[in-house]
Amino acid sequence: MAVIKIEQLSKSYGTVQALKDLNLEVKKNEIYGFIGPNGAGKSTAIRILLGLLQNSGGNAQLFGKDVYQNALRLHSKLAYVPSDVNFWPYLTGGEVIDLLAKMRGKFDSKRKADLIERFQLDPTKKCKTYSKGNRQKVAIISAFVSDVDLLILDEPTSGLDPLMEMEFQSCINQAKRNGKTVLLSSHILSEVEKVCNKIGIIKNGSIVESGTLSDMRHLTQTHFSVETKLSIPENILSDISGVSNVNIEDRHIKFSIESDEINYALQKLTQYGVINLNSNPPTLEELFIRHYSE
Amino acid sequence: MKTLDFEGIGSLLRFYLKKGWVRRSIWLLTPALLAMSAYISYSNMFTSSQELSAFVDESILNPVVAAIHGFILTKDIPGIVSWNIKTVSLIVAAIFNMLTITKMTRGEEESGRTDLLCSTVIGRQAQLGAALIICLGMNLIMGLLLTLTMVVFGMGFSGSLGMGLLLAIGSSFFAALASLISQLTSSRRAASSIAMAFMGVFYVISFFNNLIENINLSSYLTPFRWFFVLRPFDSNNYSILLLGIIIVGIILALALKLSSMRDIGEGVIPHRKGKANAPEYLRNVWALSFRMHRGSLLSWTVVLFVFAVGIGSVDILVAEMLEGVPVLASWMSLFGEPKEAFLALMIFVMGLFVAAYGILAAQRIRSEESEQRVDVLLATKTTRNKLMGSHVIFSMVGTVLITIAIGLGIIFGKVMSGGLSGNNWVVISASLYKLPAIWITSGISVFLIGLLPKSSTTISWSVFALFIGLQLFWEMGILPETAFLLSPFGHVYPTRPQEISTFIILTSIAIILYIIGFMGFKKRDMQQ
Repeated sequence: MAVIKIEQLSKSYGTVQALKDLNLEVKKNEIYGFIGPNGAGKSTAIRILLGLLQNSGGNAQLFGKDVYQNALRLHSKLAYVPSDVNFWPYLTGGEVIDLLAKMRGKFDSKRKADLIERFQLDPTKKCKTYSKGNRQKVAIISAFVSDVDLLILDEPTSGLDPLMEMEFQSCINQAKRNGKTVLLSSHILSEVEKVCNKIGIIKNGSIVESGTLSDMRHLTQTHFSVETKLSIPENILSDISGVSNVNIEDRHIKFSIESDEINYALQKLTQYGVINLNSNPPTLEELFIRHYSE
Repeated sequence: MKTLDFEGIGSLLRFYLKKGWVRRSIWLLTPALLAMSAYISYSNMFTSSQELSAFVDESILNPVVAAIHGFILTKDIPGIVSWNIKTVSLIVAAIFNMLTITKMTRGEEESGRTDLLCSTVIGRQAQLGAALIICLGMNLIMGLLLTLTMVVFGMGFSGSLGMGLLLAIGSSFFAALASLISQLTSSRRAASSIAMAFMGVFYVISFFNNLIENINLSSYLTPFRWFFVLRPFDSNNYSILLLGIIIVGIILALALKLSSMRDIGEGVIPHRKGKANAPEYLRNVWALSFRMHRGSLLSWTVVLFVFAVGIGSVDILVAEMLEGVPVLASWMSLFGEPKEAFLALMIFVMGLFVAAYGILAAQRIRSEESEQRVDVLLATKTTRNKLMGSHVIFSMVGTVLITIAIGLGIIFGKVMSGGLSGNNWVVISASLYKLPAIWITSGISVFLIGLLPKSSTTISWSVFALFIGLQLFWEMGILPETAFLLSPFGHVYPTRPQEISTFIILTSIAIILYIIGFMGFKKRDMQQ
C-alpha cells in the first residue's frame, strides 16, 4: 500500500492553475525528494495533502484513506515542517516543541533533549527573538521528536548552516533505518541526492520526471577525466555519437558521454595505457537544469 | 539625530499615500458629517428660543448626559452642536491616529518591511516621520473640514475655527502618544492596546470631572476637557490650543529622541528569557489559545470592573441629583425607575465595550490564519472546529465573564459609597440582558471569518460602527426608532422593556451566525 498516493490532482485559484493532473506515489520506507522551480506547485500539493486546501479535481490519499475525510486520524501518524516558519512570538522554542509533540500524540522528553543537543538550540528563547535558522530548527526538532510514520517536510533546511544540514541528514537516515517514510521538498539538490532514494520533478503543476536517481542518471551524461601513458589522437572518440565537450591535451582527455557508450569509449582509451581515471556521475543539478530549461 | 535620518521621507510618503484613501476619507469626513447632521436635527427640533433654552437647562440638570458629554456652554444652536459632536469626533479621530501610527511604525518593523526600507537610501527616522506627517496632516485637514462645514451652516467663524483646531490638536495628542508608546513596546498589538487604554483613561478622567462646572486641573490634563477651557462660541480662549500644541510637541520630541536611540525591531524594554519546557497544561489548541487570550481577557475585565466600581460609587450622587429635578421625570421614567436611569444607561454603554472585546477576541483566529500559524496546528490532530472554537469561545464566554464583572463592580461601588439599595439583582440582569446584542456583534465577525475572511476585520468593525451610528442618529432624533432596531443594541436599549422572548430570539440569531461561521471556516481553504 502506498503511503502517499496522489492521482490526477488539480488545483486552481480562479484563473490560475496551480496543479494540473499531478500524479505522485510514495511507498513505505521511501525517502521521496520533491523538487521543482519556484512556484511549480510543491507547497500547494503538500497543503492539499494536509487538508489545508481543497482540490479542484483528482484525489489524494494518505495510508490508503482520503486526506480530506480522514484528516484527523491521518494527522496523528504524520509530522509536518512548513516552508515559512511562523511561531507564536511569546512562546519559547522549547514550549513550541512540547506543544506540537503533545498535539500529535506521544511525547518523549529524552528524545527532545537529545535533538536539542544535536541541533544546538537554546530552548529558552522566545520565538520572536530567534533567527530564521533557529526557527527552522524548532520546527525540525518538533517533527523528529514525535515517533510518527510519515514526515512531510517543505524546504526544512533552507536557512540552516552546513553543520546543522549534516545533522538533519543524519536524522533522515535514522528515520529511514527505522522504517519511516519521508516526503522532502527541497531546493538543496545535494541534500536530496544524499538522502532520497526516489525523486519527482514538478513543473507548472505536473510531474515531468520521476524515478530513482539512477534511473534518471541514464538520461544525462557522465563526465570523465582520463590520463594516459601515450598521447591520445584527436579523433579518438569521433565515431561515438553520445559524446560531447571533448577536450584533449596530449595525454589528458576530458569528455562527457552517455552511459550506454561508456564501455566502448573506455575500451578505446585503455589502448593508450590509462594511468588515472576520474568520473563524475551527472549531478541532480544538471538533471534539474535540463528539465527546467526545456 | 540628524536631518539625514529623515532622508527618503518624500518617497515613503508618496508610497504610503497611494492607498488607504477609503479609510482616510472616513477619518476626514466623520466630524464634518456629524456636525452637519447635528445642526440639521437640532435646528429643526426647536420652534422657539424658549424650547432651546429649556433643552439646554434640562441637559445641564441631567447628570447622566452631563457626565458623558459635560455641560452645554452657550444657549444657541452652535453651542449645542459643538457640545454634541466633540466627544465622538475626538474618539473616532484618536482611534484612527493610534491605529495608523502603530501600524506604520511597529507594524512595519514586525513584518520586516522596515529592515528592507532602511537598507535602502531611507533614513532611520523616516518611517516614524512619514507616519507623523500623514497623521498630523490628516488631523489638520479634518479639523479644517469641520470648520468649513460649521461656517457654511452659519455657525460663527471664530467658534468654528476653534472647534476645528481643537479637534486637530486633540487628535494629534493621541498620535504623539501612540508614537511614544510604540518606542517602548516591542509589538504592534501591545502598542495599540496600551494606546487605546490611555485614551480610555483620559476619557474616564473627563467623565468623572464633567459634572463639575468650574474648570479644574483636569480640564488641562485630558484632551476631552480642553473644550471647556476653549469655550467655543462663547469666550473663545485660544490659549488652550497653544498649550495643546506645546504638549503635543513635547511628546513628539520625546518619541523622536527614543526612536533615534533604539534598535530597529526592538522596543526600549528588552526581552526576557522563558522556560525550556512547556507547562503540563499546554498540550492542545485550547490551552494554546488560552495562553494567547488570557492577558487581554484579564485586562479588559479589570479595566471594566474598575470603571463599573466608579459608576456604582457615583450612582447615589447622581440619583439624588435626578430626584431633585421634576422636569426630567418623564425622560427618566422611560428607563424604569427614575433613580435607575443613570445606571441603566451606563450599563448599556459598557455593553458596547464588551461587544468591542467580543469582536477582537473572535478576530484573533483570523490573524493567526493570516500569519500562517495555523498550518502546523491543523497538521496535527486539531480539527478546524476545535481551532476556531478555541478562539471564538472567548467572544462567547469571555464576554459573559466581563459582563458579570461589570455587574459585580457596580454593586461593589454602590456598597463602597453606602448607596446599597434593594435592587441589585436588577443591575446584574440589566448587564446580562445586553449579552445577546454582544453575541450578535461577535457572531457577525465569526460569520465573516467563515465566509469572507479577507475583509472580515474591516466589515466587522464597519458594522459595529454602523450600529453605533444608528444609535447616535436616533438619539439625535434624525432617525426613527425602526432604524435603530436594525441594530441588535436597539433591542436591548434601556428604554425598552426586558423580555425573555427578545433575549431568546437575539441569542438564536447569534447562534445561527456562529454556526454558519464555523461551517464556512471548516470548508474553505486556509489563506492569508
